[in-house]
Amino acid sequence: MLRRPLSLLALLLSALMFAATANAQVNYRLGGKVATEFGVAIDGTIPVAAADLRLRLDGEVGSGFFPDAIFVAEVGARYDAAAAEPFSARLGRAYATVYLGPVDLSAGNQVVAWGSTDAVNPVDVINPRDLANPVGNPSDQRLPTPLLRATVHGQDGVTVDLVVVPVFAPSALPGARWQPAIAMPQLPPGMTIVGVVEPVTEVPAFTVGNIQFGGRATLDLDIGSGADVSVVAYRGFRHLPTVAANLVPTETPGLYLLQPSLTYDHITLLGSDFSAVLGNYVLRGEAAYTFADDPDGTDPAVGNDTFAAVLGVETNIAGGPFVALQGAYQRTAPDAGTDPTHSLSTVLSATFDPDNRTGLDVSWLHEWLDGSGVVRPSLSYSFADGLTGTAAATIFYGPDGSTYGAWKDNTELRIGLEFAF
Amino acid sequence: MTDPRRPTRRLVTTLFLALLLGGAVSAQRYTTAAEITAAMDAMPNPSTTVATLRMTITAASGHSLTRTMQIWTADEGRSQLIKFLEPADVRGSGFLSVEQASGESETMIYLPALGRVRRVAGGQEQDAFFGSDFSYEEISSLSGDFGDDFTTTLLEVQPGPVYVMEGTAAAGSTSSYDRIVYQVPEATLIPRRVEFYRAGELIKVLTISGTVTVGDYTLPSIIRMETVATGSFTTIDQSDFTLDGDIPADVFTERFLQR
Repeated sequence: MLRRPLSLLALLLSALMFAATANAQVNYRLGGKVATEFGVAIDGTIPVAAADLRLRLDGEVGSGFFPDAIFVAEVGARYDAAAAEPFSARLGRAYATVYLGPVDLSAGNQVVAWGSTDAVNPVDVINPRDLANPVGNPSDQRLPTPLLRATVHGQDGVTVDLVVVPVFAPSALPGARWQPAIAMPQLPPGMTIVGVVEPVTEVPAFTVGNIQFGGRATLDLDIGSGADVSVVAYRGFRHLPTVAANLVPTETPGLYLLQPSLTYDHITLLGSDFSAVLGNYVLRGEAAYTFADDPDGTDPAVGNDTFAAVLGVETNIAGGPFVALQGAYQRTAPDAGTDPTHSLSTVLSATFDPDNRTGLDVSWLHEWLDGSGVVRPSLSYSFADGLTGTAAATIFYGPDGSTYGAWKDNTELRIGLEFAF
Repeated sequence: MTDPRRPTRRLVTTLFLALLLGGAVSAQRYTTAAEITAAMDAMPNPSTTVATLRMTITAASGHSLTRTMQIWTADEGRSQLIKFLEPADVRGSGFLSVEQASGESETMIYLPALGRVRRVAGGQEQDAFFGSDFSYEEISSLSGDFGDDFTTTLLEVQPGPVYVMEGTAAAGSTSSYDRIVYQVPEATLIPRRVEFYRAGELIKVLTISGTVTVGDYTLPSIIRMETVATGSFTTIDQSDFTLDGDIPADVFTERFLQR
């Protein structure tokens, strides 16, 4: 969908006019890509049969090594015959950045990627995600969102990144085939659920109190072949909803309808991340504690505190693949009277280019506490400059009802072709 | 598509530091390998370089892929920045390497799709240079500076004169080759052909088929590396040189890498 295009356009134009007052030179370029993708699942479902068109205009104002400003505008259209609503159009990145001495000021629809690790990013909280394919490439899932950003490049390797997000935008939820079955609540005797009605979704309104904001301060360190450490603070909302079940009485005593409610928790996040290069190895890590507004777990409609941490190492094996291993732990505080939930997973990935046209990748995510996981081998091939074909399988395994075992029927193969211009 | 995260090691030691040079043309006739290598080492290096590099990677079938890059170097190659200009699917990707006072190189990449700068480890000497037929080891050898890895001898002097040199792996060599043979015209002191051998087998052949004069420097403009076993080859075409210009130190920073 096109979200607030007029306001973004105004921001873009105002930034450009500001920069243009210096009689600056404007250079721009129009590009984009066309792509097609088709998939089939093990249960015979066709999860995707899509064609994409994305256009991108980008350029800069000014000349020399350091332009006065840059601008980017992206729009996309997609037709997916396998989707409930086949046609969709979306505004992508659309922002302008003005460089004022040591400060970069940006306004518009942007992606802010905080953190250091890859598959699991506890501190990467600014943007909502498109989770239509929840096991897709995480960097492709970030949805640009309207925000203001100031990045201050200080002395001695210090960088401070400040972000204000005036309007809340939720993540796009996975389709029905990815969603778990509705868990029926325990009912006292004499009460019976006779049906499920449409869920109620409460999205935070556009108010001053709901403005989201955060900051990340990074310090570069002269350790080994380079290192950095960052601290992050954020006040805003979770982009995924907390689901609760409400009972709606019917005209018949004792009979109820189940109505799910989806709410987005107000949270405060404090976190840190780092990366360090030691010889041929790179160490990465992230950790964050998220404070929700229900510290005692007394309100089942409000999510609870969480703690998440990721630690990883990667290296390039001589003449062989690039290999990365990351381990992630997450603890979610319980509702009153229940136990906390834990997750302990690892992600092992390897990337290898046997020749200048072919790319082989495989990633394996395993959840150690329930024995489930997913393996994703993929192949890419460059037919010509800008023309790339891909084939990827996503294979789920694990006991029924486990984190990834529940998706065994979604095991699938996708092929695609993309031309960038 | 070649993943630009594949680290590049001493890229500038690569094409520019190493190669860019040859300006001090001498009419002197050398008689020993030591004199020739000393003369090559004595050639002046530009303090900074800006250039456009077009790399064409051709398979034995004749199909080719191209990569166009802008390269900035300073501090005689100790600071280097590469940005991909073409093709569109890698446009905007960048690579930054800065040698610290400790001698360690700090290396980072920027991928637009990722949206952030990543630190990466230094590459391995035998890794392919951006998916090409060049390895980092071979790129570094373009200057004829084979360091402590090879002991050089003068095999013959061909008309020109062109010196035909042989290098054999020295004790403790880290090279993946045990023998190299290279031809050095006296006029440029830039190797025009280098043969790389392993266990007596010719593995690769490097050819410099074009040079250009910029200011006081004579520079190789067309460099070709062939992998003998596969028949594939990569041609690097360098152009748009700006040498000894004033490049602000801020160019070699994360901030500029992302722009």
